[in-house]
Amino acid sequence: MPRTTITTLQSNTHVVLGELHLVFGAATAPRETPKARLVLTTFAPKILSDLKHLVRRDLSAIEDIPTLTELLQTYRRIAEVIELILERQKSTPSPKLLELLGTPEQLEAIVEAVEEKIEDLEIATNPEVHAAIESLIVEVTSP
Amino acid sequence: MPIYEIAPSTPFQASLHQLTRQYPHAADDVQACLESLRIFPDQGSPIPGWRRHVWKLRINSTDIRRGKRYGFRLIYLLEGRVIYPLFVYAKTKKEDVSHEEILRMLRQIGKGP
Repeated sequence: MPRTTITTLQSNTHVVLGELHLVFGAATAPRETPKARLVLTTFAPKILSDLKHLVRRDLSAIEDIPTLTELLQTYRRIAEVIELILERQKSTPSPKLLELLGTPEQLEAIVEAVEEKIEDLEIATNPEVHAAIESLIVEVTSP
Repeated sequence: MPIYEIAPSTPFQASLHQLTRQYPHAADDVQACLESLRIFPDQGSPIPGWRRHVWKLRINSTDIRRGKRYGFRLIYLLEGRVIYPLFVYAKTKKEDVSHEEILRMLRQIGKGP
């Protein structure tokens, strides 16, 4: 994968994380301030499609471990924020968040997809697992 | 529709044997997924860093019955028209980091560090 594509991907994951924080904060603010209104009109309409795009990204061509590790950390933080939103929606549902991010069941599906990405990245970034897979490949493909 | 060949390996069979000791229906669950992989080999997710050669497939467990989030994980190699299942392990707790469960299985089959 070209370096510029990787940089864009890293940047996109950070952007989505930031958007999630902002939308969560703005949608659950005690009163609608001009800043909250601005956040909701700017980021909220695309947050769901950004998230879906992120979990569909094929990371198989990235071989650089520090990059994969950084992506893993960002995906983990995204999962944490969605879990927070999910908890909040279960205890004190916000109609605004429901409108933006869907029902708790839909949010659960997004968390699950992010978790799968995290699992894949955990496998990819662990040197012991990597070495074991490499040796297994040699063993199973040897005549 | 092309049918892919499945080439089971000794480490895979050993990991499946380990799994079946704890989850009696594991062999049936995994076999059903292997059959489906023969037709749709890319239904798993490609593991980053392996250029779409190493894949992971989430498998529902009849014994765990908590959805794919907590079922089995099959790691397989896709080379040409051949699928090489490498090993299979159980993902039972959300909190567990994936590589710990993988390493536990690899040690059980004598392949771990």
